[in-house]
Amino acid sequence: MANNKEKQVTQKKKVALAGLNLLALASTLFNYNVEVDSKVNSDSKENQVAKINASTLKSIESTWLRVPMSCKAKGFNAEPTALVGERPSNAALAVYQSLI
Amino acid sequence: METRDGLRRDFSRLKEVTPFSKAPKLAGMIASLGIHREIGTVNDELARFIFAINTGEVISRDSLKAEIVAWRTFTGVRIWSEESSRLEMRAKWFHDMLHPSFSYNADGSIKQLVIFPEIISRITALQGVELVLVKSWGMNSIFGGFDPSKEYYQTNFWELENNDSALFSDLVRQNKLALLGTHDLIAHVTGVKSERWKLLNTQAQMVFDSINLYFEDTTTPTIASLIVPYTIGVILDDLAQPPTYGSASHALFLELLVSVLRKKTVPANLPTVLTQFPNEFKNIIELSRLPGIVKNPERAKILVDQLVAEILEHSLVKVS
Repeated sequence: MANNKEKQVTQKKKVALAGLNLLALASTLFNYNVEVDSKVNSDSKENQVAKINASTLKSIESTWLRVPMSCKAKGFNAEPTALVGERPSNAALAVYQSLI
Repeated sequence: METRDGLRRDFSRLKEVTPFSKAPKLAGMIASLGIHREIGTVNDELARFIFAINTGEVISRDSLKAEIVAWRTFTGVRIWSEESSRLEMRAKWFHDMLHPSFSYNADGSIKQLVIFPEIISRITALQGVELVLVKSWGMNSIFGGFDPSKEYYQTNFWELENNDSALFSDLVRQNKLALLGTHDLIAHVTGVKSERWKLLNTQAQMVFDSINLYFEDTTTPTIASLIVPYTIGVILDDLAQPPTYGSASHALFLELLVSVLRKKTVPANLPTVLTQFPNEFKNIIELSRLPGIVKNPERAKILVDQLVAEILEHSLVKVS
């Protein structure tokens, strides 16, 4: 168990270091505190953001998995309810009838 | 029906958003394929609402099967259970989605769910809502990779990374809904009511405007700056579901989160690796679904502030 924890910490440090390396490179391209330099090559900036995002997705995957399915974007926020006497609406039936 | 590759090719040639009315046959096929693909899988959002009448128990997901069917010029999907042929759908308004000639036993119980998306689009049009195909969504979900070993749809990460909330709000502000799978069918299309959409249009417009303003100077946002828009998108998705139309608790969180975007508390162009998905996201979504939170708006504000703090805390680049 202790070894696994150590491995996790080491892995996290590796991810953090990888991220820092990317940032060291990214910071030479743009600074978030000032207006983006219009001379920056936009393709290069996109590539850097893509790399940053790829690192982020790897980093957050384990914590993302702990978010319940019910909270994910594609969740239906309702519970099954026994219904008595529910039938199709007249409007819907009229549409189906018109096609028969 | 066309082959899957042929459908993919035709779908890829469409504009990003295509109303069913503009390509009804293709739309019917694509939507049917999208629903068919999810039945019986972890992404099947119909399954938990299908019950066996004889036992009163929910049907097991594994027992659900589906096939593509055709009737007249319509393409549809037939869903049945190997456990029972006397079913009930415990989802309000869902009977409108079922073809009455093919779905029922003589005793009025449901034998199978026979659904024709193109016909459904005509029913929702009566409520002033237009069903659409969204190319990027469909290419990602219907024709994209789905790893059954993962417990979440790859699409969730994709939605985060691609700032999906902007497109979703754009659709809803224009009275449009996508129909590409079981979530769309049961969560949004079933029970759509025109009189509830005026408020929903306003909410979607607010979200659309705030996200676009937030990113107006940023063409390539990082995940860190996409977390708040993503959270807003989940809440707006709930608001666009008939059972939670007009929910005050959702509206409360929506206003608070939109305010965060307006103030740019998390810089829109924050060039950072995020090391952890914020825990407060889950708390916000769960509380937004509890009506009681409206009596304690201060608590809601604290959670939103904590979400922002977590994003900044778990960013490798600290905001000065």
